[in-house]
Amino acid sequence: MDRFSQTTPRTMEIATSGMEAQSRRLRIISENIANADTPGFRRKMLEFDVNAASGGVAVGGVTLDPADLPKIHDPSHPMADAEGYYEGSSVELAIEVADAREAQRSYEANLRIFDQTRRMSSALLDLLKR
Amino acid sequence: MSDLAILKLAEGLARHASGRHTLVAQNIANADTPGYRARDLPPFEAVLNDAYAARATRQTHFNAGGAHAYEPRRDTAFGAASPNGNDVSLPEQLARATDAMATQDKAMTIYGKTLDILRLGLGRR
Repeated sequence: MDRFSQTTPRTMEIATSGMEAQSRRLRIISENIANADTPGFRRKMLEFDVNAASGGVAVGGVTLDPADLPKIHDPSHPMADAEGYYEGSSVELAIEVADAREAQRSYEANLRIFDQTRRMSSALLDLLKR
Repeated sequence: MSDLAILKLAEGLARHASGRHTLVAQNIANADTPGYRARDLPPFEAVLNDAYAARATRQTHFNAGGAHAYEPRRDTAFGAASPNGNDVSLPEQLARATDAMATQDKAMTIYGKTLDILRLGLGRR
């Protein structure tokens, strides 16, 4: 009988890894949004990779967007250079919001798998209750 | 007990369904992993024939190696990949997961009802 349930903890572990990864991603996104107007702030990105052991998702390190920071013309700004430009933030709100939506959707899908796995294993346990 | 073909069949179906559910879970966990390709198990009918053909000669075939006695494979019917090379489609994967869950439920019901019949034959109930 244990052959049925062997995969249950693994499936839950996989779904949990997905939820964890997506919530860390949401955290990074909110850090980005909070710094959307911070001069010199580079957009942070999270690396996702396959966890070879469990088949779930493994979260790598945080990387910074290598793209050039936008030059904003404002001679009255305290950080402005001789020509009146200063480096703004490379965060674009539209991208961050779209990213947040995607993270939320993926989180919900993982949650659904977690719930289904729980129901599947309780269906198995119901056999023993007969 | 598991000498009964119907119990064996139900067990095989449940194992196939939960193995498939695990694969779908992996697909969904990696729904945003760049370059990840979705995988699925071959349909139960396909492995069933093999198993039944081999059953007479090799008793262990059906039970060998846990849920992944069935080899996961790349399915070509997954649709277009996104620009980062990932071809997981969440709605499709959720439909597969629900399908796997319903199949497992079916197998469990068959298993349970068969046990009920056996119990009835023994005159307990």
